[in-house]
Amino acid sequence: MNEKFAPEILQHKSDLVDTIQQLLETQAERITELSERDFLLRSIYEMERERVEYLLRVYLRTRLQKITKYAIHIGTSVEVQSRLSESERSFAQQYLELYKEHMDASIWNSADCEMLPAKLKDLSKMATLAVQPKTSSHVFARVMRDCEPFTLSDRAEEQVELKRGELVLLPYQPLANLISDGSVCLT
Amino acid sequence: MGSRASEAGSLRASEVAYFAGETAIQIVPRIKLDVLQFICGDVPELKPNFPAEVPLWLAVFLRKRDKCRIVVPAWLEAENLAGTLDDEKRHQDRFAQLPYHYVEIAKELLTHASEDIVDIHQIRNVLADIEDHRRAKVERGLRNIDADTSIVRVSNLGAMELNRIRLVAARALNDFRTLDVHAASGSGGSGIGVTGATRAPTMGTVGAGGERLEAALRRRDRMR
Repeated sequence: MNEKFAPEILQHKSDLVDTIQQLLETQAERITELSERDFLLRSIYEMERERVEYLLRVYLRTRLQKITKYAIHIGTSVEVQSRLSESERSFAQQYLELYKEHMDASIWNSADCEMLPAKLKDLSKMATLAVQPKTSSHVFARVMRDCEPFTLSDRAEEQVELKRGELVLLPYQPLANLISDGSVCLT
Repeated sequence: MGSRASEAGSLRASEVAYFAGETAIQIVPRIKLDVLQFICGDVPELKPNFPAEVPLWLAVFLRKRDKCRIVVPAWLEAENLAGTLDDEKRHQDRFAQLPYHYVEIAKELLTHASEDIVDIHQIRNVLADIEDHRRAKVERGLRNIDADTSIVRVSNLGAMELNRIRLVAARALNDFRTLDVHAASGSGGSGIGVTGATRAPTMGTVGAGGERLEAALRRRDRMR
């Protein structure tokens, strides 16, 4: 759920994804081994398997959505690229290349743009196209353990203290570290 | 609704209901079932007439096939709900304590296990009252959001209630923040003028959000 509600793309949880994929496979084998007559048991196991599979899909698809949305931004930042899995990285790269080709074909080649310097055509310099994640946007968070008081921004003087079990709506940015160490969960 | 996936940063009501499915619910099985080796962990052996705890989705699955009886959770008993309603009325500044997924759990149980619940009509009524009171609090809360709001504490708000206001509330705060940055970068007296002028339409956004909320709630009521 953190991935779902965080405005930026988070570190890929590859260990977890691998484990779940393995479990899904063994579970599929177990289901085929169940006898045909045991209809009830089969459907229960299948239902549970589908629930887990669904969750995994939501996770991966949410990441793909973010990759396409922030493709240009990701292409310029090595730090963000390191958060992607291998297949996500190649997807991001190919997507970006296709996008550039499309822009070349549909805009730069269609009008008298040959005289424009290449610098002007650099997509990553166009603020409206290179969408940046809005890390200042507000998110709902559940507090898993008591947190040290912190300020919401550099300008703010007011300290915020979060107590275990609270549910709060606040800006994402100061939460980023608390999310990765599990002190708060987005919800 | 269709099967389109929700965007990052938002959830459809059916997706919220999915998460409620993991809540542990007590059942009294009518059948014998060996240990279930699930991906999420084992569910202990079920024996007829021995109460056991299983995830809500499994409880509903078994109940639909008449393989178990569902034990109503304590908070959903008519007496306790009445207490919750009192609490809800007495404290206008906070929400009474209920499980995070109370709306979804109650709906599932009232729909699929209605024969296992005594006082089902009373429970329905009180539950609707509680939801009304909480909805009013949420709306009042939304109207109170202003430019000085940097953090909103909503402890004990339910998952459905939260999901309903997610975009409205977050957007209102985001907008205030954007305006705030602009105002801060403006200079002296004229800066204040700008803040005053731009603030009015944003208050309108919050109001419109409230109206949108009400419209959405009315739609939901019709769907029942």
